[in-house]
Amino acid sequence: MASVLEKLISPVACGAPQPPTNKVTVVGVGQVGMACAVSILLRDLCDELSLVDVLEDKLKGEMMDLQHGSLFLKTQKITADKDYSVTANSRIVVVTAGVRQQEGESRLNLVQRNVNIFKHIIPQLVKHSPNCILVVVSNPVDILTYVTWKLSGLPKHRVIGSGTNLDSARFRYIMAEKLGLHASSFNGFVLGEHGDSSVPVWSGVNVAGVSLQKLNPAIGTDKDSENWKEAHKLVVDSAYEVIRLKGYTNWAIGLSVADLTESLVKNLSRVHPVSTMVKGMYGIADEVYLSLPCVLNSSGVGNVINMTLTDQEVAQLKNSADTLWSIQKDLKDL
Amino acid sequence: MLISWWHVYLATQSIYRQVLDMATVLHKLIVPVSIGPPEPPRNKVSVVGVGQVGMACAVSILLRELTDELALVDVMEDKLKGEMMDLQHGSLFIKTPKIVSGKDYSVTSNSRVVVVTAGVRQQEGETRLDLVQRNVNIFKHIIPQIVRYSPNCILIVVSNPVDILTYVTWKLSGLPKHRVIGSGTNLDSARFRYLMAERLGIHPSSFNGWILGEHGDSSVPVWSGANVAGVNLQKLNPDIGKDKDKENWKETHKMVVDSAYEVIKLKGYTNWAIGLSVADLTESLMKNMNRVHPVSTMVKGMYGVSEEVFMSLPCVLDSNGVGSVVNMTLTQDEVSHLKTSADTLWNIQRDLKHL
Repeated sequence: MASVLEKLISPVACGAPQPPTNKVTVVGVGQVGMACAVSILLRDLCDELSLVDVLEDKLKGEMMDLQHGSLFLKTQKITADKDYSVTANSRIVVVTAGVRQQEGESRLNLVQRNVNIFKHIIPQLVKHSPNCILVVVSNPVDILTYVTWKLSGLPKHRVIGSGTNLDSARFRYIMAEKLGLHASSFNGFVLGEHGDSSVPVWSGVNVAGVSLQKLNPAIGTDKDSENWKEAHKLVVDSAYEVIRLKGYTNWAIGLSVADLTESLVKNLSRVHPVSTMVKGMYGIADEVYLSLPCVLNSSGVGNVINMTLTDQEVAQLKNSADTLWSIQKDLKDL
Repeated sequence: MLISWWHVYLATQSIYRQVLDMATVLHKLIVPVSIGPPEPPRNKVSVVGVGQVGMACAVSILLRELTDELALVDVMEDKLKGEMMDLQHGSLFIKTPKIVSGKDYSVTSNSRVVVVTAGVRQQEGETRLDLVQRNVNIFKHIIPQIVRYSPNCILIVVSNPVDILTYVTWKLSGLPKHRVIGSGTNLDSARFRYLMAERLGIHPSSFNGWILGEHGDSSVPVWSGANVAGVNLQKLNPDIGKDKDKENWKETHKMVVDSAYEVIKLKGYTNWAIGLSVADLTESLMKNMNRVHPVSTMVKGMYGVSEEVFMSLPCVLDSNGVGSVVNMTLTQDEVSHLKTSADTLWNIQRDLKHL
């Protein structure tokens, strides 16, 4: 007797099924990885999602839980494996693997721990998806994006660090709250190193093109009676605070990664502050990754916007570059 | 005397400075137009409990853009604040301008929909029925406060054992039965449709199949209704769902029942699928859609059930809650199956204290 499948469904197309056109892979199924995965799924950005991790049970459990929600999603295929062959033909690979910041630990302390993990991961990803764009999230993100670039052998425009995309989002949220506006109506960029020494570009901060610095020339300085500088300090402290309160951060970073993924997958040419290779810009002579406003499209970083920065802001960027290089130059086995 | 004059001097200085000084950036940049207090929220959703399930519900609801205000409540204050902040930091990327939280239920006031995920979760190997009295005691504290602050809300109960806790919620709330819904077999049906569709190589939304009755071990797959594009699978294979079926379709329903236990065993809990399914229900309620969902409702008087129990039937959901119930044509077997579940549930419910 023919099976129900055979009685019900008559094939029309013949030949092998089409390969995926918008496959996204997420490496690491911890809190950050899963927040990225769910944000990407709920934004309908990919036709196939694959997950990779070393913890096999956790990985399978997460895959099954997402698959059980298939009825409510537009991503037909969700796969997971310890073996990287499952990631083949990805357009975008989001790397969240690695150990996370402990309470009070600065991002720079994580470095060598995560480098050793990446030496195993990155070559395998590139082997199975030689044309992909890598989005690095693991901290310290600027250094690990450099490490990823070195280990991958990919051209620099295809290796992006999530960088200050999240810092800028937090900055825009905090500043907008003070003005009673939605974050998307407040324009402001935080650039440079993701973390303690990020650079808020006060000269560019505006609402509807109205420069806040023109309204208050002391903005961002210590003599500002409105103390707007506090908003940037809150951005730097906010990761530590959320970690202290709930043990980790995941939702905001997940949403911000989905935002970057959207620009890449849909070839939008939107400008995002992400970590890119900045040697040769702003007097930086070493190969370091820092966040600048990048135009993201389907080839990765299409262009970089030339910011008009003050001397002080350029000096801050240069300082960050020096700090990062002094750590990078001692890393082994790159 | 000298000290108080000094304070007067300082105060005068400060006022002088403020008046003569530049107005703040806010005042220079933004000119108010509308006057009076800000509008109350129109589509507020509250989620009680910020564990894995609660947060999955919250994020699914936010990413589906269903609400203009989200409130979170829990007893663990640091965790609650951390989760709220983490969501707020994503504000740039979402369309819900106000996210609040608090231990005090006043933050939930004026909610249209309240999702209850609070309570203790199933341990590995623990059946849902074993959780009961633990969660009843928690609900006695929660439900009256929710209703006090949102007397017109619709309650969606997710915590397990969901059918019993929906009954408990209904009793404690004093709300009419159409406004108290249990997430019920909405998730079981989603899992069933996913697993069945996988076997046929189609998307779950193109496979129609319902699982009704008790959420969990004794849920009822309505094989007589399973169809694709109106083609009834039982007509293609009259043995479908039975033990003698060579294709063993019954296995698929067993996988649905086991899948929660399996995911719990693998990753410690389930959250994504339930979160997505709750967002799906919330969408029907918020948008007054009249879509049919298998959710837990008060079934006394139907299918020979004479007790006040909640079980899943196909319910038409609109902005009032459960607008109507679709009359299923069930086999004798399926009806007696439902009746047995009803009896099991009532056996536990009648011994619950302090309702």
